[in-house]
Amino acid sequence: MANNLYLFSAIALSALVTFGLRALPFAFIKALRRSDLINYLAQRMPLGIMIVLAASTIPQDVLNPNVAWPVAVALTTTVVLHLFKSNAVLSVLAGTAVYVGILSWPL
Amino acid sequence: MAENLAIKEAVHEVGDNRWYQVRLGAKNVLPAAVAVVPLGLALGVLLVRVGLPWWSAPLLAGLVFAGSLEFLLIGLVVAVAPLSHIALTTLLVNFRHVFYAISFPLHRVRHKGAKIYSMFALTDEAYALTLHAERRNYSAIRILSIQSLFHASWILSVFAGALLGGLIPDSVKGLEFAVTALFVVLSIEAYKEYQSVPLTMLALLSVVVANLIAPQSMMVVAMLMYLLGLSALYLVRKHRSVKEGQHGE
Repeated sequence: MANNLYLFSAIALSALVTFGLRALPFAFIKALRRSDLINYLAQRMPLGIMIVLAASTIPQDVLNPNVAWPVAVALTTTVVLHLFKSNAVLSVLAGTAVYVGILSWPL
Repeated sequence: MAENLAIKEAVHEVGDNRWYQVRLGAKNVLPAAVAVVPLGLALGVLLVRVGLPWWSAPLLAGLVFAGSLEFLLIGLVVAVAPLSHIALTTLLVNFRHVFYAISFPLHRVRHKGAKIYSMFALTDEAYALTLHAERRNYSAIRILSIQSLFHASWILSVFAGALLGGLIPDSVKGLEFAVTALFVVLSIEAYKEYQSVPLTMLALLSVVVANLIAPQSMMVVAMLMYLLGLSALYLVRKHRSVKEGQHGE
């Protein structure tokens, strides 16, 4: 089992690397913002990043039909609600409720 | 120009009620703050179930403050992975944050300590929620309100999971879907701001290919592919505009 010193070091190290990744680019931010390529990317990155993050949080074995259908039903709930109501809290909670409902209380 | 902006911001800050700015931020962050509660609970429960001490829950959530990585870290720490391995995993999984600086309006936050906090708390959600902060003239207080309330929600839910984990029945499954739903909503919002079918296809294609060639590190590989695809599109466009420029002369 991990001892406390190791646990502290692991958390501190991971926090430090994460902070570095978040903070370091600001040191060059003026040069970055002047770059054509960076501006082109900055406009177009959010769409791709959010889609990849969404996809990477979907259950790994989603190709298995038993996993796929609850995911599909819950995703449809979230997407349809969001397109019609544009209320993010509602879309997230409703989709999650549907998913938890199907998984926790199978018919 | 910069002075004008500074004066404008100062007037804005003084003129507006600070509390009102905090509430505006709270309104912006509410969906994200709610969505991470189930995930935070799940992380806290997991942390205690694998045998880590309860006090490491707020420490991990508060200091690392990067949801998906924290789940990975628990696995690594339990396996007593070498620290170099932990640093490398963090570097790869969180590398995407390098791009967040480009659109994050850090210059709006004036106070030095607040600037450091703002960089520290530049999560996926903070990035997504402040994409239009510049155009919509968010105040420093509003930006910090978004970040700190999200931070508080995350720490509290992870801590609650660690302390009260036993109270959530094992039969309740699938709470982690909240984060998938959140990112799907954020994808729809990102699409509304940049309506491009080809780029949506490029992102989906990156996901599928990355899943095939590197299922274990799908996120990192897919983001890299999307980035390379975009860069290629940029080069093609630039090449074309140079050519057209030559024809024009």
